[in-house]
Amino acid sequence: MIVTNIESVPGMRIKAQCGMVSGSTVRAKNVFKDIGAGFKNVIGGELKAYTELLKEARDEAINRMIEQAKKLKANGVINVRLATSSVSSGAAEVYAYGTAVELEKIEG
Amino acid sequence: MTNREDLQAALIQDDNINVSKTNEGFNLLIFLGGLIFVVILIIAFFGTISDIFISNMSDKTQMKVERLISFNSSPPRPDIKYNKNIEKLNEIKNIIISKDKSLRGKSNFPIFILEDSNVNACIFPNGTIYITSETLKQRYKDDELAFILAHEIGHYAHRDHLRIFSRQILIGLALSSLGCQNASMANILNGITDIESLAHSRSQEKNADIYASNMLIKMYGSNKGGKDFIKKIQEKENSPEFLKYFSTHPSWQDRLKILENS
Amino acid sequence: MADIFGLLVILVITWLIGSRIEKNHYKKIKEREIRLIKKPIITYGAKRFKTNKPIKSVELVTGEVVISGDYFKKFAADIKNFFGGRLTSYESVMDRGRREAILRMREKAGNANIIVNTKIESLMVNNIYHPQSVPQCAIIAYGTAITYDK
Repeated sequence: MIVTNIESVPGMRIKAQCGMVSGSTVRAKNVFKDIGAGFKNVIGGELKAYTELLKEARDEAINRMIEQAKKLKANGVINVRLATSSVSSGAAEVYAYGTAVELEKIEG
Repeated sequence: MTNREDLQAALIQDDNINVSKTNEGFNLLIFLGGLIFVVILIIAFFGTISDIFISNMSDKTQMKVERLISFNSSPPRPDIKYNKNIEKLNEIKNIIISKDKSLRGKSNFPIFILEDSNVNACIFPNGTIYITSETLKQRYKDDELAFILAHEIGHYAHRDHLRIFSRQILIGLALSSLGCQNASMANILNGITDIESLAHSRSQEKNADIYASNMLIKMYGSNKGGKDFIKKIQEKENSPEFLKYFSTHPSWQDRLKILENS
Repeated sequence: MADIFGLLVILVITWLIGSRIEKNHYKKIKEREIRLIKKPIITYGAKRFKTNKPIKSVELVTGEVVISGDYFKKFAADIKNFFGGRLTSYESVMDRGRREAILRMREKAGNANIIVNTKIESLMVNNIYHPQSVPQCAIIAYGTAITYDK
């Protein structure tokens, strides 16, 4: 599965478009990590727990999007965009969407 | 193209990938159970710490803390018509103090009368005892009055006030850091601590009853006075059995059983 | 004590009503998506949209919706927040909202053959740091509808 955030895939041609696919997830870290991040706020620096949280959420959203694309028998998702929104404090919501396409190699 | 549209239709009709297949109600029950378990562990942990702390507190510190947290307002003006009763109560009180070595050098337990239509008594952290006027009107016998006084002094001897204060400070601090995130957590934590503090209060009352029963045995050779007192109260008050889980005292039946077993 | 019983009653009522509303909403969403299946939407086409067909009209279409979770969902998510992991009760709220916004956009496009460069934006309208707040999400979907000349 080829995933890009540009409108085409270099070296390949879009044979057909299969429709829009999307994946979303809402995740949170446990309360002790929240408290830890609260303390880290005082001295500043990277909040590792929340970085990890965002990574997990993004991975899950993209995986869900790819799963949808597989069901449409596509072999690529192009022009993928990521959007986030804050559903509640301490939770991350990631939404990934793109267009599933059937790609083929350009000969020669 | 129809093939592609079929695939899209299948995607729409299929189980939604973006929504986890979980039963929300069942899930909530499991996590709520887990949360209650964690909170009970925290309460047990900090409750034990506070108990150890208060038990090992020296008498000198106890007196200092008592003076700090005691009610500072002037006691009600003694009514002349109760003078006789107070004299009698003071006599009984002095016998109780002389029977318990651990009370020596602490409070001298001044007794005051409160105008009230219920039979009741209470003790303040510095040992001041209040007894309602209705209790005097009931013409209880000496050993019954001794049970009432010994029960209240039992609270003092067990440092029950200090235990409640230290528990509330420690557990309150620990739980507020978990529950400050949102209102739902605060609701749940409030509910659990309410029920738990009632249970703690009941165990304190039970221990005070046992103390009073032992004191009566030392004074009169038996705890008959306590049993008589509870039986008299039982005749007047009759509350349903299940309410005992939502009150600060054990039910009268249970208190009678405590006396019979000790 | 009364607090706990009141809370239980509210939870049960909002769960029953909320799950019923959600079920009906999903049913409608699926019906409408099946109806619109012949009018594709794509998220690319911003730089150059190539087509050999003659074009009759081009127009900007938008669809917007504000969707809210119920008290039960908020409660379940708050409890789950203690342990971490997926807040499953909010997933369906956001999913429903986005699909509804996209559907409204597609329905507005009328007879258009394709919608290109679709974008979806979302914004929380409530104050998430307020302890009582139930998530309310405003979602806007927009794209360019292209109608071919036959």
